[in-house]
Amino acid sequence: MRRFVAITIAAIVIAPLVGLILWSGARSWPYPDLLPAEGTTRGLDLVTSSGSWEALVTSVVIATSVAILSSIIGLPAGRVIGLHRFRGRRLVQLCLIAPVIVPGIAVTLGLQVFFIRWGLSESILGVVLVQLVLTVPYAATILGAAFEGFDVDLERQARVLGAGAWRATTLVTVPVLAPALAASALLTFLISWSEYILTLLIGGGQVQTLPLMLFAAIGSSDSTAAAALGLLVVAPPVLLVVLISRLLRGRAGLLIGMVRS
Amino acid sequence: MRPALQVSGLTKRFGQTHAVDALDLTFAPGSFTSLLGPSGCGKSTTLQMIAGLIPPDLGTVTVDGSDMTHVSPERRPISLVFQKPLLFPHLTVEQNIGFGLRMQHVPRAVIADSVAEMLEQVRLTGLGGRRPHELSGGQEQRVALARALVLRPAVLLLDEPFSQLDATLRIEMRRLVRELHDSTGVSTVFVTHDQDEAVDIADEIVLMLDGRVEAQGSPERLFEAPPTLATARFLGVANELFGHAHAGGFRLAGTDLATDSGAVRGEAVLTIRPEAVELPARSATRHALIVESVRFAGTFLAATGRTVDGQLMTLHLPVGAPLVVGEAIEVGLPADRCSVFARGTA
Repeated sequence: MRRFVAITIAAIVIAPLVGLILWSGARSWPYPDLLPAEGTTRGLDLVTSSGSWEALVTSVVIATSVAILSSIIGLPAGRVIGLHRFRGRRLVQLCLIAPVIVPGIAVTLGLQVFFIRWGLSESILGVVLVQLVLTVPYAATILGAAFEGFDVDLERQARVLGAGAWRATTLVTVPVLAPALAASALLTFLISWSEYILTLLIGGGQVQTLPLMLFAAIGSSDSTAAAALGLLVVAPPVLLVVLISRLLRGRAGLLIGMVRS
Repeated sequence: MRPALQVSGLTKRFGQTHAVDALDLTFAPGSFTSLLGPSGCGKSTTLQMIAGLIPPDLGTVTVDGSDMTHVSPERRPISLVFQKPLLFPHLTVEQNIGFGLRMQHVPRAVIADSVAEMLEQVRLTGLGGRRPHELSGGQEQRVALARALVLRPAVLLLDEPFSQLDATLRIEMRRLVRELHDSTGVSTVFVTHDQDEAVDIADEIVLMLDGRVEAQGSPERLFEAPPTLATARFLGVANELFGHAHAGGFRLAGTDLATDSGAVRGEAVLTIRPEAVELPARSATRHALIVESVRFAGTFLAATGRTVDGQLMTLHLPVGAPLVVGEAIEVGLPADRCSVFARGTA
């Protein structure tokens, strides 16, 4: 049964990729044919062009910054939600979820004015900041759940053993919460990685990320280019997931069920 | 001699209630004191104020002559072992024990030596490479002890460290703690709610009730001559007999007992531990009872009897004592093992 489930999931995930790979090397692929009629290296050329590499680097820089900053902001926020019972806690939780419920485009249209006024638009920094609006709630919620299962007495014990507040946090709290932090970083990385609308609005077309290039290719009905860029978009997150699942092997408690290998 | 630890006027309120109320305590160097009391009496709060984890509302904490009241916990020469082992799950046993030394930037080689020595002392040699989740409950708490002691603290605080272990293991751990205390000479404060544990382990007992010191003294003194009725009650199964105290003793159900009633006069309570009651009576102070029940309790007979005026008395007598339910007996109530309290103090 488990094998059947595994094969089904693998088929659902891998089958579309086969189509992408074929399309990326096809000059034309008329309707009834099983395989493309003519091959081309145009897709490969596009993917290896300097424009694509720049977009890849921009995407990696933005997604990595968003992942790290979300977790740094989400850690104290999650601590308060997870450890303390205070008046208005539900309201805070609701506010944290609000950017998830309200479409990002609505929030961004309002924010855009200020970003332009503060000179943050059309910059990578601006794109990172606007994406944080979307990702911090996820990070805070994941880390809040992790803090609910965290024994604060571990920190008190570290304090008694001679660790100051900072070292108690970095040497005890952060390592103990490492699986949740990894999950939070991974999730926010993936959200940022596939983000399109906010990047376009705040980046003003000046900040070229992979999704922007991909959407442009789709918009111009260039299936070969779209397929080739699609593969480029898929590759880094897959590598990241594999890497993190290897790093966390044997550590229980990761929220995304991918640790068991 | 300068006290190892001294608290003066230590006070902590939670809302309207005084968790700890103007506590004054002095602990001599090398002492082993048990802070005994029911749950909620403020003993854990006291310990955490001494460790610096809870700021007191009033009062001072002095360690070895220096004022520590406003010093943060990591800068106090005090180690605290909690009820839970609280081992850091991402570190090995060795790394856990060495954690405090690492915080003091002690060289690695020195840490390794100290940790190995500590492992031997708590009899965990060979388990240094294990992770906390691979240890049993007793082993975990021994690692916690080692982690606290390796710092050579001026004061070791233990907050009911064995309450989550089973009975035989608890006794073994008491022996170990006592042994470690005797070999290191560290001034130790052991918090517990279990009077047997307090008596077994400590040289001195401080009984806390409602945030205040109810009684203080050696285990023998508190058990045999409790200074207050509440002490007698907390230390367990004392008989309480109502009567009248007068200058010459205590009048119980029409019979005068030549006990020392101190300054107590009028309506009063006499307490005596069940095992102090004699049969046959050897002491001069005697009293008649009607045997009501006899139960074999392993190493002794647990019997109850009624006085002439119908008050119930529990006796613990050697197995084989001549007891027949419904028959009258005359028991001895040794004057030096009776305590008399005014009824109002209950």
